[in-house]
Amino acid sequence: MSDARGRILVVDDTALNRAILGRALRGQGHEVVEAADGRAALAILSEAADGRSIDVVLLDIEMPEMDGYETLHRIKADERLHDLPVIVISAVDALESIVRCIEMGAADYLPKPFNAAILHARVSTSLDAKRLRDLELEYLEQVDRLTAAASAVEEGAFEPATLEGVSSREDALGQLARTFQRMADEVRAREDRLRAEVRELRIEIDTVRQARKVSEITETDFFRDLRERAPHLRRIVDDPSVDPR
Amino acid sequence: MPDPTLDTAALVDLLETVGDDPEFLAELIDTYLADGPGLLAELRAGLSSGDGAAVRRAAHTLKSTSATFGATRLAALGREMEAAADTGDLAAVASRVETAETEFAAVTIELRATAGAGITSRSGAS
Repeated sequence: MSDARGRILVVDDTALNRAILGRALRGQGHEVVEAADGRAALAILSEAADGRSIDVVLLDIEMPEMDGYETLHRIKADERLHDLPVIVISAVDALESIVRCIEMGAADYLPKPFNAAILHARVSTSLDAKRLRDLELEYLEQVDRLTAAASAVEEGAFEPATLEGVSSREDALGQLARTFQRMADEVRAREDRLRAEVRELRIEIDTVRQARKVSEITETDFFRDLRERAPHLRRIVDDPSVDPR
Repeated sequence: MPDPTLDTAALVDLLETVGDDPEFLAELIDTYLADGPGLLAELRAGLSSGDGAAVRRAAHTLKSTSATFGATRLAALGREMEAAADTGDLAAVASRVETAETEFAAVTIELRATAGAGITSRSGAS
């Protein structure tokens, strides 16, 4: 269990409970955001304006309007929030509620009355789990980018910049990305050389064709005869009184 | 043996949970004692109008917050009223409201006296 710090959302309709949990969590080094009901909690979770996401949710079950069950269900149904750890707050004698929430995807439960050591342990464990999951998701996203890059190479549309970030990793995936970039660069360089050779070849072929056309004309008896008569023909052009025969 | 009116060990736990801050604990106690009459009023209002959900919510909050502050007998009453409201037995809730009100008065006296005398955490802070 680490001493990781996080941004914790406390959802409880009882102001006293929010005050107690807020004080305890801030004392343990966390940043705390409070919501008095399920709807306010979902609004906070959906909001990404400040770019700071929530790391763990502490969720009371018994709340008016939208209770903890409904709030938990909506969090788990939202693809963007599905992996967010939710710790349900419950009285110790509410075993059925706790089981139901865990079956719905809650990561853990926090018994009431609150105990500082248990609070610290449950939140730290959930923070560690979230950090691991975030790393896993980042890894999978970068594997996807490498796979997409392979397809792009086959289509001739690969851009090296798409692997930035992946190629800077120090693990095996980063090494694979750097090797891939090198190979893609070599393929590109080879293709460029090939195109240049083809261009040169075309020029040579055109030159040979032209030369052949010229010789088809200049190596005939007619042309040889014309060349011999060229000076006489020039004299006729210059002086029309010259006998053309 | 019946539950005591006040379990001071719970107050020590609460003091430690809020970082051994006696002033903050005193504020929490004030808030709990200030909210109590309102909760009991909600219970009575719910019983008058037959609103089982409102009765259940008030009983649940009374149970939960009273346990937090060591008011064990009041928390037990809250648990009984919540369980009765769960089954729709508002008569059973009504039969306990007056006892809850009397118990809350006793809790107020003991809690103020205990807080006045000072609560010491296990680490020695008070």
